[in-house]
Amino acid sequence: MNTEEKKLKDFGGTLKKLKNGNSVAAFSSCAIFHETIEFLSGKDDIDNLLFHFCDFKDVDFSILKESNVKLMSVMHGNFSNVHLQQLEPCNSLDSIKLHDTKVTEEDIESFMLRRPTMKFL
Amino acid sequence: MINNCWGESFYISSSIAPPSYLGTQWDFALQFMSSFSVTSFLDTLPDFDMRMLCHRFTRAGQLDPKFIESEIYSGQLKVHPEIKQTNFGSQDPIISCLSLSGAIHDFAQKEKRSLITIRSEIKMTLRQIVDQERIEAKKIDEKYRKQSAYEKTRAHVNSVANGLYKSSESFLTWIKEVNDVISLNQRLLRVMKAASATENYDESKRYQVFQQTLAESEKKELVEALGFDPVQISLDKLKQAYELASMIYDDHLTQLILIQFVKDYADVQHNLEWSGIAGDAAFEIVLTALLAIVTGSVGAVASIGAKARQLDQIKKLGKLFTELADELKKIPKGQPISLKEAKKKADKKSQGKVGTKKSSNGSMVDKRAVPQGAALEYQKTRGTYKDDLESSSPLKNNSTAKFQNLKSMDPDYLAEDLGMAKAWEPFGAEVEYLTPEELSKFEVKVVDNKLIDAEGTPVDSGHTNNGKVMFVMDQNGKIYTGEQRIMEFHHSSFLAGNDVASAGELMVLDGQIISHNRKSGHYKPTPEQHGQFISEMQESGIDLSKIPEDVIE
Repeated sequence: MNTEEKKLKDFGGTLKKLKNGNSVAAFSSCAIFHETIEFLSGKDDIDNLLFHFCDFKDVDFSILKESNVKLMSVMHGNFSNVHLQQLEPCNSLDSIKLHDTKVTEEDIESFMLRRPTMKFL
Repeated sequence: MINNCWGESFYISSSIAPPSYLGTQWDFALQFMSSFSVTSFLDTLPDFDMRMLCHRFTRAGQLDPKFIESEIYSGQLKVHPEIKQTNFGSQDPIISCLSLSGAIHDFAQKEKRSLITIRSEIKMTLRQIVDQERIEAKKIDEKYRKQSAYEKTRAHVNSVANGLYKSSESFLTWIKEVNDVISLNQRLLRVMKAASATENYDESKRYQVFQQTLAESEKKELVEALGFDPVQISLDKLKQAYELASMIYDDHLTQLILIQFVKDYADVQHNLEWSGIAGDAAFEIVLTALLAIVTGSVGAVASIGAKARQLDQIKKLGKLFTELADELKKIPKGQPISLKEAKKKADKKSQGKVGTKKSSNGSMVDKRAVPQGAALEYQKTRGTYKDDLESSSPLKNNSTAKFQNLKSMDPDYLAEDLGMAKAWEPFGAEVEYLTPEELSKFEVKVVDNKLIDAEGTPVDSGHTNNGKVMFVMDQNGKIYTGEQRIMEFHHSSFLAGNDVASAGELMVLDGQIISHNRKSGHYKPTPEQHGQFISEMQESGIDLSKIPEDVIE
């Protein structure tokens, strides 16, 4: 495990390699702080983010606009419209997968007006 | 007795055939005309059979396949086709010969395997085919890159027959060929039946002639594509294969595996090989594999072998599909419904409770808040997870269970053990599901107010990523704990996707529970279900009412 992976682990995450070659920083059942997102935004080799039942604490996702993250998946937890709107300036992000979050269909529709090319999986 | 991967069984004799059988069943003993044919045969044997052969027929039971090879070629070992089991008594020389190894019992006792295991093996075999294709496509690509533009064009034009892979024609192309005429196969059967039914009627003579001519021309096409003459196979056998194939294809989880296989297979093809699959090839894969087995390989196997690289795997698939069909037959089914229908039904049921798509606060959460109906419905009608479990499983539903208030898994996680759950898209996570035997290692008990694991060590969650361990409680109050590994091991892993009486997380320090919650995305237990866990703990001597419960937002 290299230093970066160790640091990711300290934040509660793990790095996974998918069959298609993409790297996923995956977090499960842990608190996500702004520092976590800051760390992720500085990592060029992460293609996807996966948050499974995470507790987002004072997070501002807009910082991810500096990253290369193409897909973000959030399952369960307290991910809400506030968080979704923060993703708007993230140009590299082309797909979002939400499963059982606080985001409503209206929130998505409203987001799509500003980012019409975004794919919601 | 050994079974090769074609599903054929053989008895091995250490010497020549017993005199009593000469001229009878032994007439069609396998003949090995070259050392290559011996090697080819041995290559079809599973590792276990190879080990058994070596154990019995090599010096001091050494694992020496080369020795076995030379012994078979020199006639020291003889391979004979299977004879009906009823012919054998305990005094049978062949049985006696094998029983020396002490393994005959193992062979005779067919391992009872669950649907999960069989499906998993089918998936593995299909994956081997894809992997093999990936290697092949890479080879083709390397050759292709070295060619000039003119040669590349020519390779495309010449495609299948004269292309770069002349020596090993594509399985895909073969599937397509079969797929294109498979409807003719059914038509042919109808024509033949009609012709047979009208045989004694003079007035239908012209019609009969026409039908027979049509049948002949169609048959020729069919034989060319399938590679075997259906006339050589009785209608009963064909019907049997069709019935089994249909039954397997109706199995939702197997269908998912096959569809994924077709996608993966297409993905790894070099564009030279890719000619598209017409219609639904998945069914034909099942049918073909079954035909190879059900018909006793009348022509079909040889012909497939001439065309496809994956001969061995197809035969292995045939055996697995047969096994799967046998297991599926045992499942008492209600009116079969699709997962989609099950969900609709469950949604309808839950309308009165939580409204339709959105709750009063507009949250999408409520849409999935009552998924258990769908999962239950789906499991009941399709006989998936529950039926996969051994009868001795502690998970088996019974009215005398300690807890009746159970929670089903979110149906979007169904088939996650196969890497095909909707919830895990697009990552395709393959979540591990434990067998009842493996489950016992995760059971914890309360001893002197401490949580103790199966090895007698106090549970401690300090080493985990989030400082917590997952727990689930089954309907009998048995508690299992383990560390969550995202996309690999989740709450659903313990009871293989079955209902739980409670689920959540525990922070434990040297067996002492520091905090607890009902946090489980797979199950989303209600406060009442968490109460069941608290009462079970109370009964065992741990009073959780004094320990704070993590609040889930």
